[in-house]
Amino acid sequence: MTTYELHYFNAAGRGDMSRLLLDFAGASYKNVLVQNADWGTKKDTTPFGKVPVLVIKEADGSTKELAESAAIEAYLAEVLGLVPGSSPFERAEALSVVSAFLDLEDKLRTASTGTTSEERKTAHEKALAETIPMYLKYQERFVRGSYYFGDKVTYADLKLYQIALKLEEMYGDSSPLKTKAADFPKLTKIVETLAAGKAGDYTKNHRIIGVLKWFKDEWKWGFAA
Amino acid sequence: MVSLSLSYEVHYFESAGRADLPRMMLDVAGAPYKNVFIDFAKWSEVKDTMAFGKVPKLVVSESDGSRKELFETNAIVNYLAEVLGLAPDGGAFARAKAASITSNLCDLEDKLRRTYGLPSVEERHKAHEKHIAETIPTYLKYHERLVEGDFYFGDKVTVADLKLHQMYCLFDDMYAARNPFKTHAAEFTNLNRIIATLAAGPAGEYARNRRDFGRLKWVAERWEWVFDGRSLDES
Repeated sequence: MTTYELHYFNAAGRGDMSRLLLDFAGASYKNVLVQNADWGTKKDTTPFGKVPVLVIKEADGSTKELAESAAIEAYLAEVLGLVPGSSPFERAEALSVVSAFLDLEDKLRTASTGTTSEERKTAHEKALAETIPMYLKYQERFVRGSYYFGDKVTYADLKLYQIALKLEEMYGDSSPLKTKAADFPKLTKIVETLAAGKAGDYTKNHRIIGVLKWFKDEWKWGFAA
Repeated sequence: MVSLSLSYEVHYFESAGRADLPRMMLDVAGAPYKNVFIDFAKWSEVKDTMAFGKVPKLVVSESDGSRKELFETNAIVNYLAEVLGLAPDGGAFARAKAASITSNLCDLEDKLRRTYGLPSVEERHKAHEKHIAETIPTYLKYHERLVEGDFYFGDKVTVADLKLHQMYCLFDDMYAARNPFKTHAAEFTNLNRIIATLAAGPAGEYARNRRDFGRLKWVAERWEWVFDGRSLDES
């Protein structure tokens, strides 16, 4: 049986989605948490000086590693059966949904780059009022069934769920998935269905929040003391 | 072997931008394709016809006339890598390794893009100087040690090599003789070998003849891109 190690910081961040996929699929995996103090020595052992890194241990004892969260997630989705089908086009369509969400996450990161909390607040309020609802509007339109791609959960649905968790952590009841739930009935239903099942179990029992927290009065992520 | 019963359309603005790599891949693979240029002035009319409100869009036309559409540069690039024979051999894991290389280079490209919209010449200049001196060489250092032969994946040109070439062309546009590939030639021998080989072949021919449409220009003294003579608002 293939076993996996997900190497990442003691935080949700860019490791959360991979952990969710592994957990949801019932894969045999463990988290290898990189402490900040150890990062200096570990960094150059990784392919691009970054984490997450996925270490794959095959049944025959061979190991291989993969870097870059987007590549790790697409790979895990494929090998864990969380894609709409086996053809390149079907896998690419699922990736396009996820990629649009990654773009949204980038916009939210940018909103926290202002040097004062006033600037960051203004940027996030714009995100809440305009950017996030605009991205969600297109996502709502894309959904093709009970899930993004019909009757089967794929990593597109799990990405939506992970985004919902992040928006909840950042904005609480101001998350547009809550304030504008009536505009996003299909997305809301996917999130609720996943929350009631294995994805919800992951969140309650296995999700790592660790040391990276959202500081809501500062409108940015930071390390909790 | 590229299927000739399929033809492609790349829908994007009349500039390299996010369509450069998909065009390069189709061109290098010898796949039948055409550019469908979107008039930037009419963008608000077509935006909502795109699945996620963005371009590029790839249209795949079958010989029976059916068409399907694919959005998001990352998805388009990974799809074309697989169907055009531009992925390394070895199935899902090999494709994922290529995707990790392109993803990391896209991460670098995103850092550069964040600079484009800075409001003053001084801020843009300072940011680009840092890219030239630090950011780009730091990223490329990791790539240099990944190369496993004449190309990233041995003997075969893959999407990883073409992504590298697309980035090289972008740095040439902006930094000319200060392109970090050139100024660090001694340090990046593997990467420069890839670039030289590609430049001498179909990828180079694409870059010289079909990549630039004359509308998007880098204005060096202002450290900014202009489209038809007007500054871009990065969106």
